[in-house]
Amino acid sequence: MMRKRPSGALFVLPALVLLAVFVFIPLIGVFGLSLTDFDVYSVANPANLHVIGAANYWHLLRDRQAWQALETTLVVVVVGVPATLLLSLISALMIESIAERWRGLFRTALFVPVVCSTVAIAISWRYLLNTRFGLVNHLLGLLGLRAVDWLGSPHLAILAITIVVVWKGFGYGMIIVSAARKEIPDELYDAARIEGAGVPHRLLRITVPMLAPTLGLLALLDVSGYWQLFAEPYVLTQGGPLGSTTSLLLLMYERGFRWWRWGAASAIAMALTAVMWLFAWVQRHTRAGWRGD
Amino acid sequence: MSLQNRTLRAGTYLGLAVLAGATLFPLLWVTSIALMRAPEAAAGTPSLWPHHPTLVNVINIISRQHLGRYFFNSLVVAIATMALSMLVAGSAGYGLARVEFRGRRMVSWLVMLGVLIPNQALVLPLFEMFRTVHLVNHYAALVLPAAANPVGIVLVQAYMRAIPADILDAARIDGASEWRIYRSIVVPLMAPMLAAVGVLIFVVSWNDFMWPMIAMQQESMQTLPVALAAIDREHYQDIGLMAAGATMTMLPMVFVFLASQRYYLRSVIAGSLTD
Repeated sequence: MMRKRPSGALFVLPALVLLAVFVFIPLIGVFGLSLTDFDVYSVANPANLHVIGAANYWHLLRDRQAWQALETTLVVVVVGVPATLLLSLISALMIESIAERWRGLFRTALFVPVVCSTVAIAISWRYLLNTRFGLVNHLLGLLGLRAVDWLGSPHLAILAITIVVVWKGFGYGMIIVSAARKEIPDELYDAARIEGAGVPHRLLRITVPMLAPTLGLLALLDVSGYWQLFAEPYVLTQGGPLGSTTSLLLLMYERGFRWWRWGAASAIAMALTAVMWLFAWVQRHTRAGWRGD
Repeated sequence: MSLQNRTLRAGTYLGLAVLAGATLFPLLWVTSIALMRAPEAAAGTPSLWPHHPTLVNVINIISRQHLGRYFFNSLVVAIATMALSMLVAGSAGYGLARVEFRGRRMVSWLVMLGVLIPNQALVLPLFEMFRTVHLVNHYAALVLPAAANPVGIVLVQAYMRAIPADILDAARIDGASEWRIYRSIVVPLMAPMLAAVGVLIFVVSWNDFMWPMIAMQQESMQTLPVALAAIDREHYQDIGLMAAGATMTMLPMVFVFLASQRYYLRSVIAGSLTD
């Protein structure tokens, strides 16, 4: 039972003010900026500022750098998210199947990269991937393979960044899948065992379907995280070689804070936000489908 | 136990050991490089551990690159953000879950919408706002936007919903004021979730990069990751120095995580259940 009390609004007031000032007003602001030609000349003299409608968006559609950034970011999402989900799932199921006293140890080990600064992680991986003295190439050398210039070739650089992103991220999902796996009633497995179902059968007919809603939510979390890729390319490759690792956010940052083309940068920010809402919408609808059956 | 089961079990442990090795090795290796002298760090055949351990890199990055200053900035910002977030998320989460008032559904909806807004897309107008009020290069520029974190509110809200309303109603019938109920009954009840939110926000704040880089243009106000990225642009060839910087940025959060693992993981798990 709850009664209407005027004081209730006071409890949410501080949060509401903070959200309004630092989230909703800036969101309206970034939309407003995207409709203008705000640039370095308007900073000097506001008279140079003009409302130009959707022109920044039309430019974006014909902007090769923007398409390349979209492609780069999508590659990380399309390759990275399934890889992360798979690793989260496999590691969680392995951890849940071993003796209780070892679980904490492995959980901690796999989760540690999640709490580490992305900048520091990127610096560490740059040395691992170094052509001359990096350990990865040294190992390839021991296998009789030639050293690979991971961060110097356009195709490999984005792959290397995806690997770093997945390596840092999958422990987060492991914790969530692990908790969801505990919620599956043992009776389901007992019944299947009595019917003589083997391990693969139990995995595909019980575990994976029961975990589907969790994996769906996790997919959205991973997508929204990877969609905002920034620090890894900023440190590892500075967006290169040949712009091949410039993510959407990195492009927005460069246009906005290097070239002071705020109108153009804001249009990228809006596009980024809109696509994220699309992801969330799709996820919600697929999940409703899962719930339905 | 059948041979098949035994193989499966051995394979599981082996697989986990390989995964754990893969996640820990890069971190251990960079720590080890931080303790090497330049020739060893850049040797053609990489060495796994420092054969002649030295603190020269650590001393250099502290004395020449002023790492202590950035460490202090990071600590101030993370603690202030954590404290403010806990205050805000605690009262808002409780208010939304357990107090009826006009516009409550609207506020709940706004908080959910807030979760879906990528905050890094907002840095341009944010910068303009802080520039206008002359708060660029102030701690407030990092603390205030980071405390506007809807995730903390959602976590507390869900946690409070799971607590039976009877306890609160009894206190209300006794005539206790809302504020008193909040302070003496609600806060102790939600303390575990508040702690979880606190640790989560502390770590997120410490590691935040893009906005702090934009908001802190003055070197002496930069946080660790921002300063580290800046030092890196100039000294990336000094492997030992950068490894020391990376290690000293990561290590405190590893310790914070190890010490508060229960709370931290609770916030991660709760985050996946609230939706």
